[in-house]
Amino acid sequence: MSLGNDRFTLERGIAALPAAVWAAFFDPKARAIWSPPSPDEVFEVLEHDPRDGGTGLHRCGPKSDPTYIVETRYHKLDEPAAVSFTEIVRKGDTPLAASQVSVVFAATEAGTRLTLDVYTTSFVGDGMLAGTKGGWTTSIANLIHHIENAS
Amino acid sequence: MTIEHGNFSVSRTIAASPASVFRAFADEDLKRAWFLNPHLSASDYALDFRVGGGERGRFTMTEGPATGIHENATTYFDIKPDERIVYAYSMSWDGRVHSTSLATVELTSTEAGTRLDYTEAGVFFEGSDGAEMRQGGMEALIDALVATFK
Repeated sequence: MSLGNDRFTLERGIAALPAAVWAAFFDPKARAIWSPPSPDEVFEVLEHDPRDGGTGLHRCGPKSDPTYIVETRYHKLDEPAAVSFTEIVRKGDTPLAASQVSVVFAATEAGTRLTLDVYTTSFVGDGMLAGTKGGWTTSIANLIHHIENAS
Repeated sequence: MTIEHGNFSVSRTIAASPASVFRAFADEDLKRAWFLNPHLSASDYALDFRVGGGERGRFTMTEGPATGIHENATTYFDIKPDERIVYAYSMSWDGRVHSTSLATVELTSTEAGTRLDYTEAGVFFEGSDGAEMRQGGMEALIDALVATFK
């Protein structure tokens, strides 16, 4: 199967300072709350080292069978303004998709404008492209809910 | 920090089998022959071609507007022998990361040999070469690869 590519951008306003959004984005405990797209899914942080050249590893998926492994490589962090990282999603030994992700946390009068840009290459068809976009869209909505209800 | 995004693709036909072209990426000596710019001083180049492995190189430019030490740091995400290579890499200039990219190389057997399709999605920070310059650089590298088979 040939590779498929997709790119999307999400822009969201958040009623919190960039530092607070940054903290929630990177805090493992917070991410376990906001990252799962539904209550039936789980997000477990296995490794967490967000710095230039650092790596991350997490497992996610249905609570009954969280078989997706995501390996992250952090390339550049400019706290609390921007981050760039790449990640690959596998199920067992099978790679499903790789993504280049950048997030900008810009200060505004109302708080923060978050701009997420994701370029994804799928190894298994368009379903993974749609799943990646849908997952990020829901997770960012959860992140905003988590932050605005905590402050 | 400002961020710019850019995607580009480069395609070439190479008069060699996909297995031969793949080896030019996988074998350190073969890769040195086309990947290391003869006009730059390269040091500390190392290739660990496996999933989870990487590639590191330091290149010194001694004149012109880009004078300084340039480094690449690559991590291989997926390798399918003779078919595809997927990797992430960052570029630094005097120790400052100025771009990160997700790159794919696809090799397809054709009557003429191999069709190589290279795709890169880049994030370019302040002071980076930018997508247009990067595309030019990658075209030159891939043309150097093609030339090794002539």
